[in-house]
Amino acid sequence: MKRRPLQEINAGSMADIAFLLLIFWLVTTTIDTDEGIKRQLPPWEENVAEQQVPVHDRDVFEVRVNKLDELLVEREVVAVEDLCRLTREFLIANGDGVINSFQPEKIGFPRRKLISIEDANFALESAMMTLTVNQDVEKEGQLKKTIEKWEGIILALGYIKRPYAKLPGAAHISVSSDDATTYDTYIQVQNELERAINELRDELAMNLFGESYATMEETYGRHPEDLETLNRIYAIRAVYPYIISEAIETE
Amino acid sequence: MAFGKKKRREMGAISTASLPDIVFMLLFFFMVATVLRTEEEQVRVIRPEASELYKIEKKHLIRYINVGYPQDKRYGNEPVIQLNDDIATVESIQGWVDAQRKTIDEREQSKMWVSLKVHKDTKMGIVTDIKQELRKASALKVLYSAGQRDRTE
Repeated sequence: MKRRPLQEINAGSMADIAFLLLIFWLVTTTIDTDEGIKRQLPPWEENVAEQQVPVHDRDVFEVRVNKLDELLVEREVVAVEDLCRLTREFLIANGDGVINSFQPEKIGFPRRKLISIEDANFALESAMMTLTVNQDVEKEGQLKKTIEKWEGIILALGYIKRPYAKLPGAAHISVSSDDATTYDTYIQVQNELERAINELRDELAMNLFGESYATMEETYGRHPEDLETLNRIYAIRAVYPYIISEAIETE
Repeated sequence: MAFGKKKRREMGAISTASLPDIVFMLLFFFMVATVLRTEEEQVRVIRPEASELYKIEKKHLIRYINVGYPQDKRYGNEPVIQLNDDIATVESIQGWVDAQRKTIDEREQSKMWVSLKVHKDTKMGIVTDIKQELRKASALKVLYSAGQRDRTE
């Protein structure tokens, strides 16, 4: 039998086929991104009423969204656009002592307290002294927490390099909603609150360390061994703590 | 020597033989880099948009709760909850959280995130109920899933 000469297959169309496959893949898949507003829910407690500690009215920034999607800040109707500004005002009304000068006299806002390194050292020492003579087991846990708190403050002071005005521990932003509130409105409110804190943190970080807070967090996220950045983050957080709380009580 | 007197060479045709290889490489890259949607969408969700977003880097720690309008009209016209591939009730969330937690490596179980993908027109009542169930199940790290937008002036 006569053999036919082997014919070469034309590979020119291969590229077209591959392109078709590629485009098909690009169109059908979605790169799954998950971004959103993060929140820490309070732990579940059975008897809420018993454990409530009285908090001074000036320490609470009350944000409510009613069933008509109206925003009430400290019982007054405001627009969502003003929320960020009002939140900032709540946080820096009495100054932070670092970039906003400390003014202790504004009524109706949380009283920030100016803390110097000497105050912090004194408080830490006295707490440690109490711990050495303490016999009570229950109190021991509390004291250890106090010591930890003051150690954190001393560390922060080292990075801030001057006294700062500390927000009282009870100060918080309380967000609540009605069952008939629209989710979108609720998220916009949460977003503005988050924005106020982020902006203040960014401004402080720019002033102290020359980079924004967001960049610092990103750097730390990529290099978890970078303790310097972590301590800087803690210093910023000491001045502007994350105080948004998810109030869940509904009327 | 004059500069203008260069000899003009004829350009050779560029070989396109490696083109398929390049394209295949691209194809494989996308195949590896993209995640296929693993769960069936039972509810239609249009997320709200926000500017202060947090991006979770470790995807394997996220579990999703979808809340939106059911595709299947037999479930009604109001937003419902979807867990995994099924429409579920609020009461089943606690059990679901416990089951999901077991699928995560023991050392990282406390770092589990629950991402709430909620349609923006949903009423808060259902969301509040979900939050309460999550608290009971001690799944306290929550992400309100949202799309990116710029800050308003």
